Amino acid sequence: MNANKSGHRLLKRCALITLLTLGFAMPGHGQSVAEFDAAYEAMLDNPEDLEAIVRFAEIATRIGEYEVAVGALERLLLYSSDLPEIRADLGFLYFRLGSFELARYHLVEALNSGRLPPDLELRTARLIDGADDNVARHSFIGRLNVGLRFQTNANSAPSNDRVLAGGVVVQLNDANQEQQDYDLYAVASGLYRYDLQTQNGAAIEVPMSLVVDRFADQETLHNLTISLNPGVRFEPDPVDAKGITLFPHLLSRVVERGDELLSTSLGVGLGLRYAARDDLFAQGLFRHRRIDFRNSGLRPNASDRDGYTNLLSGSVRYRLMDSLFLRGAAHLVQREADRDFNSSFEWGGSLRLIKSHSSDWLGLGTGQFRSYLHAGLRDVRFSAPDPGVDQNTKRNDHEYTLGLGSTLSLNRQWSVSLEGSATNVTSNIRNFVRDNLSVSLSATYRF
Amino acid sequence: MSDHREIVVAASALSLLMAGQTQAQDQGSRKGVAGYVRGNVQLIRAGESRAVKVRVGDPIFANQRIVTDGRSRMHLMMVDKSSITIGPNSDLRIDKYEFDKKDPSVGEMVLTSAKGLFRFVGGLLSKRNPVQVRTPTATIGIRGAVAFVEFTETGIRITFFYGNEVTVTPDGGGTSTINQPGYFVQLNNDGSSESGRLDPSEVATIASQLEGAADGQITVSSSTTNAGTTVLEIDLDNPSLNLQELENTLRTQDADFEAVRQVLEQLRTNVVGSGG
Repeated sequence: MNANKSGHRLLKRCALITLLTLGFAMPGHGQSVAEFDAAYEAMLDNPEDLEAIVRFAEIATRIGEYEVAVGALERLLLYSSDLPEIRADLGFLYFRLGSFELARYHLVEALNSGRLPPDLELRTARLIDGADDNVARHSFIGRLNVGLRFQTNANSAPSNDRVLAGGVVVQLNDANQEQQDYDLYAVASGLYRYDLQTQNGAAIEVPMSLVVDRFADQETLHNLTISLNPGVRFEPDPVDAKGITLFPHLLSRVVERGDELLSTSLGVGLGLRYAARDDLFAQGLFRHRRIDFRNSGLRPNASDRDGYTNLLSGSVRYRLMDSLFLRGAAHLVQREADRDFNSSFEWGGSLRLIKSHSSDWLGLGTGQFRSYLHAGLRDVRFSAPDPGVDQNTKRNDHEYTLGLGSTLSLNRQWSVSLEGSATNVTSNIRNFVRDNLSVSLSATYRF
Repeated sequence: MSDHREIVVAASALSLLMAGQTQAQDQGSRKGVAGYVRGNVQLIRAGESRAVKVRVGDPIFANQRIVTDGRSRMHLMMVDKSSITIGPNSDLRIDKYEFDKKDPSVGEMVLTSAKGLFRFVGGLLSKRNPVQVRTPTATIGIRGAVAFVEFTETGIRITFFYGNEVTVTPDGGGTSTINQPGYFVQLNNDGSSESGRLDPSEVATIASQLEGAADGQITVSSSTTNAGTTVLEIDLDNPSLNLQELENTLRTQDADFEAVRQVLEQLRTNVVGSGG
């Protein structure tokens, strides 16, 4: 109960921080527009004032008027084409607009000048890669993340060593109590894209991932997950609903746990994405999936969990300030299992503040340092009491998570991350009350 | 930023000429402003044959025709915040421009062009109503977009780089619509048309035509006035450029222009035009 209250207090604090941040980040829009208009008038009155061009482009960019900012910076290039930083800015703006051809042209010219500051050079190089992927008919982007993690409760055991079994309190043996452990994990993910070259932006997309997780002591927790979700992404209305894409797709996944097959699943999904501007990115997802569990020596009754799941989720990422983002996410999950006590309804949400800053103070001169603060909540209600635990009580869990982490870009391909999180689960059944602290150090290679 | 200096040399008189002022017009009703002018850009008002040289800051009105020669470029800033960059050897007429800042939904822009290259970057007006570009063989509609229009020896190519859409309607009918960045529609002189994705190397080719020279370079253009005087115009972007470099450049670009050499001799002795 105390953990429950502390979790609520934590979330309230996070919400307060978020609201304060939003308050600071949103100046009066009317004031910005007036400033924008005045800056344009100043350019009209004195077209050769080059500082006025830069000032106008800055204001236009700040209020999201990227198109007119482009017009202003293009004019600067008429005065001299040898302005690498202006070209880089222009490339960033075209990239934000989704005009990858022009973005690529300006970014390559800027990079080839050899006169960009190191952090700008790295950002420029990465955006060129991004533009190349968008311009090419075939593209594959991938990343490999390899890390070492330490958890205080790797086996998700209850905090209390006395639990219910068939309604009777029993003492857990040592093996089933909290076990701290290290695990070495690798996550390889990729996206293959084939542009169908239609005027609704249709492309075949095949997201894929492979997760391998090996524990130092808890061998039954070894994990292997493979998923492949091919589909077609397209714009339903490329003229009047620019930036909105739909992604009907198939779902397939195989999970192995403790070196034994745990489950296979197939399904269908529909994704929706809104990415017309880089200061606002939203996506929604519906997935319907059939999951079949395999009984094994480790899990003799796993097939009791066979059934269907329906997932509805959404997230919004919003740029609060130039380098500060807020991401909010929410989800609903309905699980229909063959046994009612394995059926459940889940809802949850999370907030994440993401801040990018220069890594110059580290002396690496290689780019950006990105940090985040994350708070999440999850509530799971089961449909029927589990007679194996307590036949009179339907299980209801609340999970609170607080995390933070930082990622440092070393160069165009490599980055390193240090992350930590604390998870607290409260439940109306003592078996499922648990805590965990996790710290991980990982390296990521993009290709 | 480099200094931008201009030396105008009248070859027939071997004297330095100052260009005349563009005819004064009512600033209150300007539709746009010449935001950049390089080389010899001429402005011809409707119903007149006399051309007036355009200067940076000159107001632009409807019913005006802008003509550039082979070494000229111009950038127009319209009051609705759209912009038009006009490339070399171009001819563009602003037939109609109506914009009310208080009610942008009722505005209209109609252009006519028959040669050259220009880039349109949309402002407030084109978000509501497509900007119409009339050409000898088709009508182009640009809605909230960044688009290039090029007249080539074989026809017209319209490339869409951002925005809502560009429509291309040949005089014979049948509208083509492009709304994906990097795609083009080409209307050939023989009446055929084609569309597709622009090769990245071509993007560089057309975009670079609408940019200035790098610092340290010189552009030279010549034109003939109504009085028959040949005017040689030299744009200097590099304040530290010495006369020898200038002469070398001129020899490269206008090798047969003997009068230039004589002017340079005079410049060398009198040190004329070296100020910012």
